[in-house]
Amino acid sequence: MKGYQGKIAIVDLKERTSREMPLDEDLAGKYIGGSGIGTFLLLRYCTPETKPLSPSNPLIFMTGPFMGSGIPTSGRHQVVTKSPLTGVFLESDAGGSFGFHLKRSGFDGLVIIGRSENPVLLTLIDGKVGFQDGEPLWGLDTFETEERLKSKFGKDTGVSCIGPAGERLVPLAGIFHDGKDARAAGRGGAGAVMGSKNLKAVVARGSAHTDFFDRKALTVSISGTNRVLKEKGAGMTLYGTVGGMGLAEELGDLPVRNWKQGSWKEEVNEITGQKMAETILTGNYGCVACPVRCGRVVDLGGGNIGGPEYETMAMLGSNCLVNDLDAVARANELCNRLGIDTISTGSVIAFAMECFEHGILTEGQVGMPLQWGSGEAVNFLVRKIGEGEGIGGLLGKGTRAAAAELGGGADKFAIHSKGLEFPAHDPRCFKSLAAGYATSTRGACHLNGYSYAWERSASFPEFGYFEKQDRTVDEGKGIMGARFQNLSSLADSLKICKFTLLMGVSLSDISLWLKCVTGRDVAIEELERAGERIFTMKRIFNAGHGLSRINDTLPERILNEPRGSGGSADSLPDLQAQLDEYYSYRGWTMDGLPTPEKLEELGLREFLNWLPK
Amino acid sequence: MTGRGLDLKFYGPWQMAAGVEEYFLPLQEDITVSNLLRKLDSAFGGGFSTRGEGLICYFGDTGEPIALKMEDKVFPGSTVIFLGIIESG
Repeated sequence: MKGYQGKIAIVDLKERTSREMPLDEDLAGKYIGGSGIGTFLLLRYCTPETKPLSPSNPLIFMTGPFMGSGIPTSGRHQVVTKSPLTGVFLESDAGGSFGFHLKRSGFDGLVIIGRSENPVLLTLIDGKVGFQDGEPLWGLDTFETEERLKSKFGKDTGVSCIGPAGERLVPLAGIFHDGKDARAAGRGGAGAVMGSKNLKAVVARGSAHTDFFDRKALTVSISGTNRVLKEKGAGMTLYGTVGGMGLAEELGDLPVRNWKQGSWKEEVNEITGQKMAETILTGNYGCVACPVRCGRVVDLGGGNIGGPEYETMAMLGSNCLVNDLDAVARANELCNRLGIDTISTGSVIAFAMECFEHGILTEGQVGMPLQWGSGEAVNFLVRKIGEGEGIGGLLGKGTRAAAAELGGGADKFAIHSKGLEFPAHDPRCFKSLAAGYATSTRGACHLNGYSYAWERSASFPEFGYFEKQDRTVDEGKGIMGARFQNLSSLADSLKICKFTLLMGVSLSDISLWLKCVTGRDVAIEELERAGERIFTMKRIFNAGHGLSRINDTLPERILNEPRGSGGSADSLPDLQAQLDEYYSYRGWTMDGLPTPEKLEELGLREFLNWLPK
Repeated sequence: MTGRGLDLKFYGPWQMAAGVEEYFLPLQEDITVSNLLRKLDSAFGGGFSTRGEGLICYFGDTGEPIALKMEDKVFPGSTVIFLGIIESG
């Protein structure tokens, strides 16, 4: 089968056994790869009763058909599981190089079930699955783990691992790869799932070749795309996504003081990508097959390491009122080493600062004063959270759980949806994010559906969005959000970066590339339909866990408290109006549930039993 | 590139201001970015003299982009790129 290795490794860590599951044309045609096949497998292996940290919760790594083809940005992989942070669906789209090595090892994907009795290292090398003692690695941070394993297995090896946070089952723990470059399946606690299996790392290596249907036509097509992406992405090459900090502040998108403050006009200039380029930046890096190279390389005095990108800089920086570039970069490094999600960590630190401000947390409980703007406090808490110690034990559970434990009105300061903390874009600035965050299947996520890009700068003519959309209106945003969710699900299944969709890559391009890779003719309408099918599967998973419209919510601060100053001073989204439009467009009930008829229409009949009776 | 001059590529709001994606500006000697913008104002009827959002850059010999400030000079034979906003993640 062109574009695929044709097999998925199913590994049982308790029994130390493995088998190969065929990835055939039917599965590939319907669910594509990445997010699609990953979600299909999650629905197969997981039930609503499965506890996230139990041995039976599957941990799934999936590549897509574009991997290895040279298609720009095709070096990504998807991690899918049930989240210990939210209790529902979790997927993470990760860049870097691990997915490349996974496919080269001879497998399209990997499903891990069971729990090893002792720390274990899983190897996938030249089509063979192996188990090695993970004890010598236990306790090492992610940088040290990668270094040790590359020294053992060779430079041309992919290493996906957890740090101390994952080992200690911190719900904010992620799965990291590429060592100091620190690429991650960061959000939602996938690292804790891995730690619950006593799995320290997965090593992938091999030289498996993937056949493509028409290599020549593909090469011609992508050479033009690479040139355009390189030009259009030059800003990100130069300044990273952090280059967008200034504009985010100007528009009123940037989180400031736990989403309570509007303007931060002067201070933001100290922590932009442009400032980084004048000071600590030493280079850039990119994911496999990416011409843009938005990754930052910085030197804080100890040699080159990965530097913060926009989300990290905003959540650990402006959201905590910290405009000390060095402090944020150090906090980023610490998060990466310990293996925790910078977005949720930044959010829970800001939450803690606001709790401290209101006397809900005390210096005695924390161990130091939590003043807004203190880089020292941020770094102190990052370490505590990553090590699961002291106040970190509470905060590492995330804002929803921490607020519930603290009481005293702390829930007002917990900025999340479905238990996943907001990323660094504000629905009061880009209205489509209201329904987008509320309906995102893993909790508040700007990547689940990237619709705000169409309100910010990008167009998508194939969907009728010929120019930038008015970010201040609610009408039409439910539909817009749904359509970008479908696109995101498609991109996450093919495994290309969503930035390409903002820089001119169209469904026509994708259709051509899919033909060149697999030989399959897929019309652009069917591509969107595939995205809708895959997104709906994720919704079904959550519906099976009892979620519906009442869970498609946003915090009171976002719905009812204007930012008060800056570019979006008075704006508030009308979530309910957007949801009505969204559900109607999707053909769901007004309670937010896919109907049996919709499942039949999308070919998802086998999952009917997941819908509530 | 044809003749002696600058190859210009416009994206985002610059493209909207220019009405074209690419443009060849005949030029015999080097010019500062600020003067280039004034020339383009004349050519396209306004909208170039303020940078607004985004950046102006060219690709150096190593293939990496190099940002241009207003006082920087560009030389005939170069390709200069006018970009829209920098995407944040």
